[in-house]
Amino acid sequence: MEMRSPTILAAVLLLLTGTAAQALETDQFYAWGKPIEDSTAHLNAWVRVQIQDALDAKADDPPRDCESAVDLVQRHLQFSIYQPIEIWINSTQLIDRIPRGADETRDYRDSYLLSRTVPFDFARWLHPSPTVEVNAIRLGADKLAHFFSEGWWYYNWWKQNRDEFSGEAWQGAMLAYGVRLERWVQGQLLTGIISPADMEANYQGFIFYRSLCHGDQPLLYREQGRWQFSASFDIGQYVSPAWDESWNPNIHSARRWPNIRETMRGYCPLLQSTWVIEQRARYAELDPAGPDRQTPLEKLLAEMVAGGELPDPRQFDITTVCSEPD
Amino acid sequence: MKRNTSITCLFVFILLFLPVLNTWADGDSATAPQNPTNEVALQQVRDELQDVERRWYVLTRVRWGYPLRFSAGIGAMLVTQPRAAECASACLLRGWHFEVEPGQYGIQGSVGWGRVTGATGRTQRWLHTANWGWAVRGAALRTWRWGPLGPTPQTLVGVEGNLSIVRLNFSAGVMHSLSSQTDDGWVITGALGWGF
Repeated sequence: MEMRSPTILAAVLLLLTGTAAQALETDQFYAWGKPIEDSTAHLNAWVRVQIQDALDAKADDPPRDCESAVDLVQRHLQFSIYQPIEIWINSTQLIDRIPRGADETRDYRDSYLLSRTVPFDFARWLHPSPTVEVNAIRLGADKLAHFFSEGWWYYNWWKQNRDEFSGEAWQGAMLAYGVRLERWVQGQLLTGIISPADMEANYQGFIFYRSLCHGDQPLLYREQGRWQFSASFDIGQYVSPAWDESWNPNIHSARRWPNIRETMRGYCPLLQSTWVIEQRARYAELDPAGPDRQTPLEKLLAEMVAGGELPDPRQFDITTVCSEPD
Repeated sequence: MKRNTSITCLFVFILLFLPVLNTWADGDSATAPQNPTNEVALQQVRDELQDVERRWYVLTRVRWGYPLRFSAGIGAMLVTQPRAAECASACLLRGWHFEVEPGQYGIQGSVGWGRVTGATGRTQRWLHTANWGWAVRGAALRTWRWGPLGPTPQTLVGVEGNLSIVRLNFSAGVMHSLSSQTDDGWVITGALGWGF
């Protein structure tokens, strides 16, 4: 076959790769009211196994310093497209999730928030991520992929750029870098979605990677010459209600929003259910919206909304949707 | 009494600081009590990952390209996977891949190594959705009469690379004609399709 335009082919491949990398969407509304067993212990265990096995495999030729150990570990936590933790969550028997199995997955695809958007929607090309539970907080499995994948990008940004800033000024610059990623192939450009929940997971992933070698008690340490990963790692320390997209809404493009809004309206009756009321009350305690308790990312997004750089996510919140007339 | 106190203090010192003496790092290690629940979970994860079996998965593709024009391939991948792993919504396969692909102007057989993330849905062993994967395979191609390579049937051997992204399949290869009498019997192959 004659390839007249390899540039076009390369562009198509790049586009598709970007799509595959970040098109995994999720829907926590779908899991409302349905029981899911807590997976904190097994997620912690999987991370410990991956990291410790990676370190043990190099026991005869151990990394010279902690950052080299992080590079080694990272290669087992982040692939180029699909992230190992998401593949594992989708295939293991140990993580309870919604949906689970072929029939539930099909139903999920047919009815999740993005199931009826626009024809040939990139965001629908891949299966949507299931919902799992960590410390009674619901999240899409894609958030854990963000945690280990984009968290690593943030960490690299921090290593390369932190010296250019005084004090904590690097934090705002790094989060702005994260927003730019989200507005490009990581989100808005390809799928029409800007996800504050994704960015929160990215930021927490950065904190995780940084804590491997930095701080008072690094998670990586050497014992009798061998690198060890601390048993104190707990994914629950990073997860917050801000990871739950039913609580921390996405920003949708105007083209997709009418159909998403319509699907979201189907969940309005559940807002009055005991299960949802209790969940949202619990979330409100953990994640109050007041300005004094905002995370650094929430502060940045609030500033961008106030400056007109970003649509207000509140207009995409289910409480707003359900309070609007038909 | 004084001696007993000294010995007691020494024991307390050793008990308190022995773990620290065994540890040297950029910073202190983060130590936490071993939560039995976490240790049980750790063992369960290890057990699941280590209890593996060999499985075959069927892989298919249809594509349009040169020199086969329209073709449809069916193959299989031999993988080692945790016995408990399910592929209904997503799983990772990596292993040897075999494929036979009859087409409009010939038939191709190939053997190689690949890696693919995809889903079987209800089928359990037919990975019909290839979300991301690649394979490199040695290939042998026999053309029919009256194809793009000319009126005489030819046999070609070579190497083919495959890339599948969100179900779309891109493949390219270089093959040499065993039937050609000249040195320029090299053929560049390529195709676009669906599947893996």
